[in-house]
Amino acid sequence: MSSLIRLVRNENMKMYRRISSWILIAVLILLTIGVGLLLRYDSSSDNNEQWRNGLASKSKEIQEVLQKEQNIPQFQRTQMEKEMKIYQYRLDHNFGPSVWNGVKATSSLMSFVTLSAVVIAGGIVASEYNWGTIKLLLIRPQNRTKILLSKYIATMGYALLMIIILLSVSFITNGLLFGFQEMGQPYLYVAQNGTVQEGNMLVNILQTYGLSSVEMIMVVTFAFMMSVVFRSSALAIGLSLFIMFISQPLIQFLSKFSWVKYYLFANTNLSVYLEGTPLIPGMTLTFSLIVLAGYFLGFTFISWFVFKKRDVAA
Amino acid sequence: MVSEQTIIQIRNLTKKIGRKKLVDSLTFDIKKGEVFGFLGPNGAGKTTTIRMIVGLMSITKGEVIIEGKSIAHEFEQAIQHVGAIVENPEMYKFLTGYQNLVHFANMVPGGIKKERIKEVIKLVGLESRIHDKVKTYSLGMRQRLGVAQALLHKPSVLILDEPTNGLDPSGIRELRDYLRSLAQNEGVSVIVSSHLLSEMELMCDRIAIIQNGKLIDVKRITELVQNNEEEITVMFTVAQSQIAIEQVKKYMADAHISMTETGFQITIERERIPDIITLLADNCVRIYEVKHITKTLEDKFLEMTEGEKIV
Repeated sequence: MSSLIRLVRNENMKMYRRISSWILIAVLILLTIGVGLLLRYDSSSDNNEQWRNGLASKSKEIQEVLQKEQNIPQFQRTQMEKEMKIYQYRLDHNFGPSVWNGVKATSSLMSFVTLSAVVIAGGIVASEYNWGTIKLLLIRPQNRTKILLSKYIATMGYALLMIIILLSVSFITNGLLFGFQEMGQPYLYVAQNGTVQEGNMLVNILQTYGLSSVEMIMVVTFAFMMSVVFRSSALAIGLSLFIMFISQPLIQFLSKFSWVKYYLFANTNLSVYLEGTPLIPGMTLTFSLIVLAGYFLGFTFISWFVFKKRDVAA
Repeated sequence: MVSEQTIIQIRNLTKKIGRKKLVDSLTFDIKKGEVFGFLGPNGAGKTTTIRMIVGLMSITKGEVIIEGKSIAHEFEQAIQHVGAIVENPEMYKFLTGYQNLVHFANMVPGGIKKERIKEVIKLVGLESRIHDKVKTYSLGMRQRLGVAQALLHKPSVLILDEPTNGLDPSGIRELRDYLRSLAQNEGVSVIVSSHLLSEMELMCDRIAIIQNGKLIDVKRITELVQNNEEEITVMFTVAQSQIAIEQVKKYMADAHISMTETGFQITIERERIPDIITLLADNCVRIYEVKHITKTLEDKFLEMTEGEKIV
């Protein structure tokens, strides 16, 4: 066990001694601050001093749309009605903009965390081949499985570090922008019976970030596998980002086929099971979890098998 | 000193890729404290053999046993006795020399003490530059850092694949002296591969000659350069070669004699050389030089590999 820790420490040393790892972290910090500023100073948003006017006019807009447009799909209609209820609840209880609105908004930067972790994962095995150092790495009294595992752990550690940085920078920035005094605000949602309920805000925030980590883990594991199989970081990074970005349009395009439900990215957005309708009727949380586990085991098995068996030539 | 204790046993070692046999049934032993050379033209299978010995490549057939442990089945126990540089000493360029050593020290079970790292740095003479990034090192310094990482865990075998590639003559000499002293003073067995005969001749105790993946022969260097044959070849530098050859032919019709630019060359029993000199002197041939020509290692090598070119 202690030998694995030392291997991970080695990987960390190699990772953090390179400037590129720090550039990605710096960009993440700048983006997080940027999103907070945008939220606070965008006059059309309902996050400034005139938030009451903002909410009221938004409510009005929705009401008008609901009255005029007859052919809005039912699920969209209920969604809008729920939104209105929450606006009303906020006005009634004087729930102004808080630090949490900002922290929730920056969860969209999880895609940047994914991108950064893909860059690291794509290079972590392939670079050893490019540098020629793989030959020195694999003639140590450590088995290849352990060496590969240490690289995977280091990659995931980097992703975790980025999430922690994202959360803390977001909390501090938005706290300074919106003030910390509204921190006690609850999370609002509309229950089955149509009434607005108060939930735990912190749980909800962690849930939001946790759910977007699912996609991150899958894409990063895929990039890691590509890195092992192709020994080219450019190919590993390029291919992983390509499949990540093409997924949504591809799923839309193929949604009439039922087999699309077995596609990895049709299952990565688990939040649909908590607040909305699944992509394909009949898909359940259990189904998606099984599919995700299947892909995960497949990716890690291929990585392990190829790394373990491959002759290091050239 | 070289003892009879065997460190590495190689039995029937074979590597097949597709239908091609890159290495074909190599069998030999490497003893404690000897410098052992792999000699062969490029593409003969030297690097493939070394990669199988250190476990970078899988073994199709046969065995590599290091200190009694099989590299294929007890990799970790076998490889812990080995320090190696396979081809160029490629280190992490963005790390300092010291960080590189710490990196590899971390991979040794039980770890390596700071004192040992310092000791190795001193041994290869990198004290003044060890905290600089490797990308600022010259090739010679990288080579020395490569030797340092290979020696960190006090291995009983040091394996160097083409160690003098890209080194300047003084670097080659330095490395050679160093390897010899390691073998003699510390009892470390050293395996080097090369396609350069001259180098092998100066460095090794024994060499294995490999061609097309097959072992041609394993010989002591002294055996190779020594001339045990009855007849020796002697070169005469004389003023009047025509007359000289005529005279010699008259008395020694059985000798192989050929004219050269400055005289002639003759292959004959050692005992008859004084006779030739007396004969020539009696016939007033002016003799400038009589030289014994030893067969070079290169001649031997070409003989053994049936004239195929080295390099």
